[in-house]
Amino acid sequence: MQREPHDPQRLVEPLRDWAHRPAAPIDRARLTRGIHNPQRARRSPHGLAVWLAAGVALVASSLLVLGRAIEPGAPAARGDRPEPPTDESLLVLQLESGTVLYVPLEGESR
Amino acid sequence: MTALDLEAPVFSAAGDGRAEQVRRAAAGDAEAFGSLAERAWPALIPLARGVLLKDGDAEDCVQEALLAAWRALPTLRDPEAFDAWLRRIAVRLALRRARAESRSDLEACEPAAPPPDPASLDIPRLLAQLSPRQRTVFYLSAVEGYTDSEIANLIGGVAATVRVHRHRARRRLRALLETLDAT
Repeated sequence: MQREPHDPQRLVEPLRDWAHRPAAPIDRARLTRGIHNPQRARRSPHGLAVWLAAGVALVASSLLVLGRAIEPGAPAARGDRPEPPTDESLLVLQLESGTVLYVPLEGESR
Repeated sequence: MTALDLEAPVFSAAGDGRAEQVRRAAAGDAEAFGSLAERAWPALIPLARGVLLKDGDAEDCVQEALLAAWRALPTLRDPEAFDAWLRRIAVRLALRRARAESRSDLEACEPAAPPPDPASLDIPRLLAQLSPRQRTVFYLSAVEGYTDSEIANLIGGVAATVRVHRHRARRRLRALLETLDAT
């Protein structure tokens, strides 16, 4: 079959010869080392353990920060809630929703 | 993982007791796996060469593919699918390496490869002008005789995308050959 001169098909034979030329034999020692190297064999589970540990550490540190933030008197807590009153003229009510109300027992309404 | 149903131009585990060898290897028999690897090696090297274009890289890649196969072998459900499965691991690994290499070339602001030598048909240098995916598709299609859907199965993707890569590879090669012939 007549083939046009720039047809990439003309590369196929030389490419096949090039790719299929004899290869160096397999390095069995290297393969055996890889098979028996537990470090390498355990690469994925080890990596998973590292990620899990990092995740646990991240969650723990977040909880710690959050815990500090909601401690009474902590800066973040002060921003979110009014200072707990020390005045005995106030009734402290905690609603089911967790909201805390300070109701004056006597005196003028605000 | 689904098995590839390829007409195996490379090698086959069926019919010569190798399925049994695959079962033994999957059960942890390193010697059985070594024999499988030894027989697979000469068939996998040309595939890796076609993608990576360098003997050293191809050998490294096939070694790595064999170790990946050893680790994942217990998950292979059908021992008869071992050959196609291994081929797929090797080709995908080669493609991933080739893409990483071409990215690092870009990062280093170096040309992907020097232009081909007009004096001779330098096959690897000519193929280096293609993107890794185009090169892989062209090689698997033109040299190894795989169909588009078989290539899609090997490299991941769909046959329509393979056709696009094959078309672009041929167009690029045609342009390169025209340039070569003109000089």
